[in-house]
Amino acid sequence: MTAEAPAIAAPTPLWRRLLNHRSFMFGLTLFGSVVLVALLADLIAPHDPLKNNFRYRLGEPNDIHWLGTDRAGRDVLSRIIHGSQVSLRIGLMVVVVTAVFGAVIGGLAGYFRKLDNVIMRVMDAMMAFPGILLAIAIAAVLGPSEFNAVLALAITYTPRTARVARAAVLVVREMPYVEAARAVGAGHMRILLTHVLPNGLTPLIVQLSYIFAIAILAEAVLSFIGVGPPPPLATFGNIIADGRDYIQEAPWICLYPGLAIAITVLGLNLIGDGLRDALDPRMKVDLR
Amino acid sequence: MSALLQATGLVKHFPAGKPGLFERAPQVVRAVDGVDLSVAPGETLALVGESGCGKSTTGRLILRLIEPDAGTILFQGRDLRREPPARLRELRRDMQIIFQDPFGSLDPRMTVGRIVAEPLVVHGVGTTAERARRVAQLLERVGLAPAHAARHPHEFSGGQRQRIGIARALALDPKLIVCDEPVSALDVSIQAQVLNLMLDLQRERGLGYIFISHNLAVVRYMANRIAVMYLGKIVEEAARDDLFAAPQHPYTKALLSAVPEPGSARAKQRIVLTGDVPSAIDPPSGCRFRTRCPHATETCARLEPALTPVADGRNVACHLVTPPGHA
Amino acid sequence: MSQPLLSVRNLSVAFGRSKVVEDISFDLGAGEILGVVGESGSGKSITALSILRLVPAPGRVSGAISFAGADLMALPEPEMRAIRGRDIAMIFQEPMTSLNPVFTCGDQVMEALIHHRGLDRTGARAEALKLLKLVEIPSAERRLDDYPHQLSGGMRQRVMIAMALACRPKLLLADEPTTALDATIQAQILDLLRGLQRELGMAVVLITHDLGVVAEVAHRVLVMYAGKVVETAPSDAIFARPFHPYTEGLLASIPRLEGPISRLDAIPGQVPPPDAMPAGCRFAPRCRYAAEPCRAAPPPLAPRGPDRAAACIRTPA
Repeated sequence: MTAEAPAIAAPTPLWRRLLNHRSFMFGLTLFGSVVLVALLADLIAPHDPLKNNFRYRLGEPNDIHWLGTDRAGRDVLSRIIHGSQVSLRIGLMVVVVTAVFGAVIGGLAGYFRKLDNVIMRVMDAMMAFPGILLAIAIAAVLGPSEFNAVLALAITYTPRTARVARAAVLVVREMPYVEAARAVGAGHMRILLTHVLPNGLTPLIVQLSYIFAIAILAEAVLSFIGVGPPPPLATFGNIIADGRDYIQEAPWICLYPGLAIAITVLGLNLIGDGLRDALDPRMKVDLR
Repeated sequence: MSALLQATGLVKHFPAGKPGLFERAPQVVRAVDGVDLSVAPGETLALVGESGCGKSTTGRLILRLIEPDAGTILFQGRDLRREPPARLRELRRDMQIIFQDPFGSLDPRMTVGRIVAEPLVVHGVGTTAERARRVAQLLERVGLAPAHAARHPHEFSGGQRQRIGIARALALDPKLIVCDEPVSALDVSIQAQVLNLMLDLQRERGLGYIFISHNLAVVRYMANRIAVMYLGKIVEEAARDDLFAAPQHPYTKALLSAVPEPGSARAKQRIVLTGDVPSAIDPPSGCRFRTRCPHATETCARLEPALTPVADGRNVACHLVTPPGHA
Repeated sequence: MSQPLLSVRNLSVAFGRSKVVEDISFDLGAGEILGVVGESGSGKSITALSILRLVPAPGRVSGAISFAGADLMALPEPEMRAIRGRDIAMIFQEPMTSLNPVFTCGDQVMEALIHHRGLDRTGARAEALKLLKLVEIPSAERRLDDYPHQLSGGMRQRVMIAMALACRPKLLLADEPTTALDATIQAQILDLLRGLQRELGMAVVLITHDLGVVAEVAHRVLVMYAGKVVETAPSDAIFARPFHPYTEGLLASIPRLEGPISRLDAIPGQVPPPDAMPAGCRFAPRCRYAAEPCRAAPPPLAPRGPDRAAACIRTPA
């Protein structure tokens, strides 16, 4: 057969494929700037995001307040800048928690066939609820706090991640190199950590970039209906929630944080699409 | 003969199709259905047969990579099926496997050095520096350069990858290696290199091989003894020269005559078998080969022939060779 | 051979800077079986694809291919499409992926009959049945309504052959048709191919890595190495006395079923990658006879006697 075929062209390394992927680079630029803003919030925010100024309530955008002020006269731009910190933090924590639990649950289900049926039926049951409703219900029961918002979102999105992780593990588990590892006497833990995890990671990373985006959106929803992190802490959702009663007189209060959400989510989704394209083996051209 | 490995009555039935949550799998594939074999130290036993005959499964049962349904496996006198998992891991040091697929059997995310060192790491052999030295030696021995340890599998050709797989199998100085179609994915010019390497290693280290292959010419080159399998059973077992000089089972004869050879002087007298190999889910009654056998009689449908000694070290399972009630 | 059925002149195929096939020429007479032998990377499959003008996208093909008087390189695409399947048919190594899983075998055989021969469904079905019988499929009536997954590998390859024969092609390109099959099934298929070729008088290009298969079936052999033809000769002659060191090396490196068992004489090294071909003879780095002139310039495929040729400076004329 054809094992001796010299590769016609060495496969392009992943980073190079990503660099050449235009929408990935655009997404990375968008999301990267949001991250930069969040990191430098204390330096670049022109005002204190919590400082009331009742002399300039619902103020239109002007030289001092570029994006206007809200009902307490707080600077909208500064609140968005600081809010991005909180929103990204929540998104990131949801991603980390979901990744860990999703990978563990999905990994166990995919690797140990006996656990598969039980675990995945539970996950299916959780996924039978519309995601955002489940998150709202959990958050409402737990009460409004940043930690609870993360918990609610993580519980909601873990089954989805577990499903992706399980599918990846099912594929990797059947690879001959896993059998080779068993043949040299490697135990389950070693096989899972050194062979299955690294090789099953790529679809998980793609999925997590989408989860990040969804979590930021969902946090906004939770905050908007008052079960997210409590005010006066600024998050994208909180700012919009604050402004909803004044949407006629002061549309900027809702508009700009909405835009910030859109930029963040768009950036993350483009990153996810780019990763998916770059990692998808079906895209590779086989010249033989 | 003190056998390195002695397996008796190996059986493995797989459920046909994946059982769902509510339904039970009603059928079984009789992949391996009562196989006995033994390997002496330094000897090569070949398992030959066509796809689906159970030869690869047999190899994996011996290593307990697949759990047998029945049978005993004695390795250096110890019953592998009774050893607790911890002891089994120890015994695994002495039994290794080389795989068919040189692309799939090496983890693409590991460097060659880590791949070859994995058995050492798993069994806690040596310090990091010692392991690195050992990996370098092994790579050199299989015809690669020690510097290759830093590279990834995709940078190598199929033949080179197979050498990496061999180096990994040698890492723990095993006594027995199951070779599962080790050269069937390789081009002929590379195949010869790998076969010669395997012969040299056997001579050097007194390795026992279980050499699984569908290629009779390769088997003739490698094996001391040969067991021919058909539908989960051994139909004939003989020393190499006996088998090729005078095959006795009709299936062995057909298999031998089916192999095309360039420039062969032997009359192209083909026994072309009719039909396909029957399904192992529902094998024929009596002799499993009878549906394709040109000599099948009514007895063959009724009675299953047992693997019977016909000469020293030679066993055949055929009513025509050893009539029932005769032996 | 007055007028060859297929004539390939100076065919080259390049992907980017990699010349996968370089400057190969050969003729094929009507009713002749030509075995094209080579290891992976020799360019043998690409050669077959270029005859059908099916070389995948970035590949650039140059040279001349004439078939039954037509210049295949210049033919407009619609006419080329008509030739594919009707005059030149191809069968592949993997009969599972080459058959469409959602249609029955009958449908797939009938498709060619309806498309190329303009039969109606009833007529096509009757003809399809005849074809399945021709390729010796047992209980052909029943198999007509089977889906590919219901058949064994050997049966699928028979269906593929039946499809290829649907329009009684003048030329059959068979790319490793038995490589995925077991020995006893391979023997059946080779028997069938030989019988059909004699019966229907078509020409066959049989591409394979298996010298044994070539020896059994082919009249003439073309040995390819790294995109070039290194030797061509009648099948009996080449196995009796190979001229090119690569052919010699190949024959020495396969284990045999008879004769004394001695250590295999393996060819050292491996095929160079197509983007790093040596300047001179491409086999020189692995050749035991290689000398200075071999590395200087590629040797031409020069005639050795009436019906043989080899690309080696060493071979005595």
